[in-house]
Amino acid sequence: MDPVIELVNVVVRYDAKRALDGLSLRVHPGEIFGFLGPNGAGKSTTIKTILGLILPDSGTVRLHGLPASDVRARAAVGFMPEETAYYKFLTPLELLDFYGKLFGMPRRERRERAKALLAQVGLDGPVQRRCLSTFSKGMAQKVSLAQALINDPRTLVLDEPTSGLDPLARADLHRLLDSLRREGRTIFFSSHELSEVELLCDSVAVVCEGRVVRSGAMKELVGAAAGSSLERFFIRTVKENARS
Amino acid sequence: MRAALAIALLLIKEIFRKKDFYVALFLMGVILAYASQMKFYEVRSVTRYLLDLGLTLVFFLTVILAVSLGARQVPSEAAGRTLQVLLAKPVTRGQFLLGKFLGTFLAAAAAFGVFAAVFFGAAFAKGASFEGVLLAQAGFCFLLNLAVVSAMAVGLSPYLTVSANVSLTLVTYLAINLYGPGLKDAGAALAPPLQAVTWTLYYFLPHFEFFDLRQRLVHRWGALSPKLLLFLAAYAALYAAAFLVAGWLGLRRRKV
Repeated sequence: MDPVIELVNVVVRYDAKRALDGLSLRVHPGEIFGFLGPNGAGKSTTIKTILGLILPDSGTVRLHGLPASDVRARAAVGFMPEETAYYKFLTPLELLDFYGKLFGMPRRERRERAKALLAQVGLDGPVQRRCLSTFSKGMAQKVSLAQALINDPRTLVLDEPTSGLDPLARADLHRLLDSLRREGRTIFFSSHELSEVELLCDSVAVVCEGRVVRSGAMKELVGAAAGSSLERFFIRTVKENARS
Repeated sequence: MRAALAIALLLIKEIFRKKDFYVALFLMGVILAYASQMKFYEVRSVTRYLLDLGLTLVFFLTVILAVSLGARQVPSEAAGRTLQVLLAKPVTRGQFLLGKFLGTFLAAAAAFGVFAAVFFGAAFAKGASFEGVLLAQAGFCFLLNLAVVSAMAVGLSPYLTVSANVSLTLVTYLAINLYGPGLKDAGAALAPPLQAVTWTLYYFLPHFEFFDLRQRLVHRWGALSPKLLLFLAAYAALYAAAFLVAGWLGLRRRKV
């Protein structure tokens, strides 16, 4: 099966510093892929490279079989950034309508889908017509998730999706991601919440200093030894690679 | 084009929902109200002077609005990280920049329509009259001028901060309007290396003064020929395209 996301020997430099230093990874259709790493390891740069927001200095990045820089590759992708100040002069309905337009969705479909998605993430009723400037961080995160789903994407790329969410909203998001997985969608997400990654993901990769140092199926990486957990695996992996 | 139009419409929505436009409109209203209190005693030259001043105000306020709007497009989208979300959709960087240009131009043109309506409403109420064809031509030429200045501000926005861009665009705009026509003659009086620089600037910089029909309108100097209008439209399109291509080159490989 062809990978949905494929990075081969990707190098990204910020001036003299190598943010990605020969990073390679593959994400297969239908899996929830957890992308882990300490702060500054290159997680956000990897996500931006996958989405064509950063062009690599060398190496190849393919999304749905196309170069990530190809605009068609992003037609079936939804992206939820870690933190974004969306256009504060819009209401959530208007915001989703705008993003729907960028995908060429017909007006009626855009409006119906925007309403349904906002309700699905817990923003039902009059709040849909309130200006985004009045929204709390948690509410903005919900809008962010809804906008990522506006085009009914085959692949979702989520950067720290649960940051800023309260436990109830977090549980709702877990249920939503689980239902999306059952629909056969591919989900690539970075998170510092290791319990969440362990709960949801089929595969994980750990990135350190711009390189993937361990990757594979969750069960193979974590579940081999009795009493092991993703947290222990992660700390051990990061320490080993920090030493080297 | 669909994506560019969607981005343009969003920008128009922004201008009408934020206070910049209403502040400029209020300022315009206050100045016009003050000017309308002046007694002209039917002195024709004074009336013309005030009409010229009013038109200058309408034009310049619109240009300031266009520049301040165009200059913040890339920096504010980048700072708010909305640029990441936008470019993660099937939108090319060229479409993004084109949308920002169209939005800036159309929003400023709409503002110009409102300012002009206020100004000409007041002028007609005071008994002023204008030649219809010339009035339409002056409006058309100002829109061409607005297209170039909007493209300049948007085209520079991937390179400069908002304040640097606003300053550079407005200073360039004013300097060309004031000194552009005399640049060639000034160059003729200079020594060869400086002459070459001055003449290069003369032929390279956009001559915003070409689009300025205020004097012609106020003093009734007659309408322009269709051929000249066509030339001005092509001239504006060329410069607007050049500024947008320059902006695209700055944004093309930028890490967002």
